[in-house]
Amino acid sequence: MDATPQITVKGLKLAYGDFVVMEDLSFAVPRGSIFFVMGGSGSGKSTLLRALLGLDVPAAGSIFYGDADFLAQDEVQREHTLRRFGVLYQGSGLFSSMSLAENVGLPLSQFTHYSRDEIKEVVALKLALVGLAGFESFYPRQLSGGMQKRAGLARAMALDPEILFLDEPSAGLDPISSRHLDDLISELRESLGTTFVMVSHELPSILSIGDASIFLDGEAHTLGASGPPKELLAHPPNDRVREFLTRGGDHA
Amino acid sequence: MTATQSPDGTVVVRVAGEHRSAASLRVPPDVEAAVQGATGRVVLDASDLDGWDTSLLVLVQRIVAVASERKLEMDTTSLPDGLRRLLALSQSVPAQHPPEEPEPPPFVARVGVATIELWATVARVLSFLGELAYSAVRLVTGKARLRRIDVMTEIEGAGVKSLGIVGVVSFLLGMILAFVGGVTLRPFGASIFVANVVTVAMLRELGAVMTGIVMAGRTGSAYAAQLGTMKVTQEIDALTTMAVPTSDFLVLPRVIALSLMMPLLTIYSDFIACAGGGLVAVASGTGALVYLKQMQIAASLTTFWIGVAKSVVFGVIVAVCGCIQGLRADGGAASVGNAATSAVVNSIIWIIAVDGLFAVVLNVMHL
Repeated sequence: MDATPQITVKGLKLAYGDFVVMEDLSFAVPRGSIFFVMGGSGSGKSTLLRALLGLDVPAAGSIFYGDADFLAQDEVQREHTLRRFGVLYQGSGLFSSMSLAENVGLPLSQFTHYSRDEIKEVVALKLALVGLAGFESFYPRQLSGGMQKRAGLARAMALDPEILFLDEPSAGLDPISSRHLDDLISELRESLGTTFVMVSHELPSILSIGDASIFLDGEAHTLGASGPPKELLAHPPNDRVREFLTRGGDHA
Repeated sequence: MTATQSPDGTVVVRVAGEHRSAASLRVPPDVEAAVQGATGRVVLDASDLDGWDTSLLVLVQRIVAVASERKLEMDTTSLPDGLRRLLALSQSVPAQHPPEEPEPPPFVARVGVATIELWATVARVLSFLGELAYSAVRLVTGKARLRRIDVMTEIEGAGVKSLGIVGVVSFLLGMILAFVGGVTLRPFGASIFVANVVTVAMLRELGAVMTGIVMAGRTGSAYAAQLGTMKVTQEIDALTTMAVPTSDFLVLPRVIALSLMMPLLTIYSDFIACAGGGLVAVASGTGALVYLKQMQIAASLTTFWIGVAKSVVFGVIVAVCGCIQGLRADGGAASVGNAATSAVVNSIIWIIAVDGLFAVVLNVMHL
């Protein structure tokens, strides 16, 4: 694992108008890690993700991808940075009017010079990797929730991104599908060295595959804790982290 | 990527250097030919490989496919661990074969299916109208489940917020009528009858029709999109399971709003159009007072009420078309778009058709 962090966030402040969601947020995402952004509902996890993706402009602070200052980049540079990302949105974000082949093939046809046949082959491979071999001609609405998530992942990794952002990847999945998705994610990290940034409050996933994490404290509006999830569970630095990781306390 | 064949029939495929996305995804023809011609094992040698991503996996997969088709033994031990695992992963789930497209049915069968579907559509529309009538009865008896605030919101949306667009369209329409009428009538020394053209055309026909068409585009499409999205996001299901009839809660407020606002908008449109027409007539030399007097002669109360009565019907048409189409949406962004399109198209067709029907009936009644 390379020592320079993939993402470095310094003093980030996220706000909607006068309403401050999070401030004084600093953390680093190690290269090739599975990094979890944890926190209760409404603590600002998705807001942070939107800021990291450049969908929202933070009120203050800076975000570095490698050495590049993301917020200071002009449009061309930013586009270049964004091309190294893959994103799986919470609702899978698949285009409902396109088949899976077209969904996964879209980034390939936009950003590579592959021929139609080559794209077809890459699409087949990516779908096979997420366990959807042969589903090319299906439309998103014909698939179950878990399959849609996996198809979304296939699209997110179409261009072999360096960083994959996953927003609540296992929300709405049954425990077994969720476990399969976790296995797939750790397999992809091992094989391709992709960095995963995952927003989640799915404790089993966090504890089984997370290498590093931050906990957003929704009440204090700042970083509650950071570190490997297992260590946070073993030695919780404060009560809120302990409550979160033990589902509300020891009596559970 | 190169291939060498040894005398015992073993083919060694060598991949070397950096192998990332920018590279071609094509297996070199000589390599493919060599694998095709192999009689012994196929060995993948990646000992000089520096870097790779899934584009290499595409190539490896194809070589594996060729080899397995010819039932040759593969040796992939020298590939990087990650690549080998991904290769296993991509083959772990057997490919699902989508059901084959059935042959298109013969012409007669297609006509039959279309006819049956047409009947189903008629039945659906009738049952929708029946439910709506039932809701209307409940409304009169005070048992309808709808919220006054919803009705008021729809009235605001369909009424006050439509004044701008209806005003602009009507004013321009009045000016155009006066201009065309003036050009046609002046050679006969009958310029004064421009007042008749504008007043009768607007009051009897165009006021209601134009307002109806504008509202179909502005409000009918909004109804379809709104209800379609509610259908897609399961809000309609939620209402149904709460035993709240959608025809009361969603359709009725919209029908009430449009059937109340359309006549008012039509009267407003009549006034604005007459003002626009008058402006052009006066500007081209007709005296203002003479023009007003001629308008008074031309317009009868019957003409005015005919226009207003039509507008109520058109309002119901726009609201019903919007709601029916919206409730038909079934999943996906495209279906909501189609619903909005169909709502506008159906509204306009029905407005024109019903206007024609009015013309025939009124002619028979000598009005």
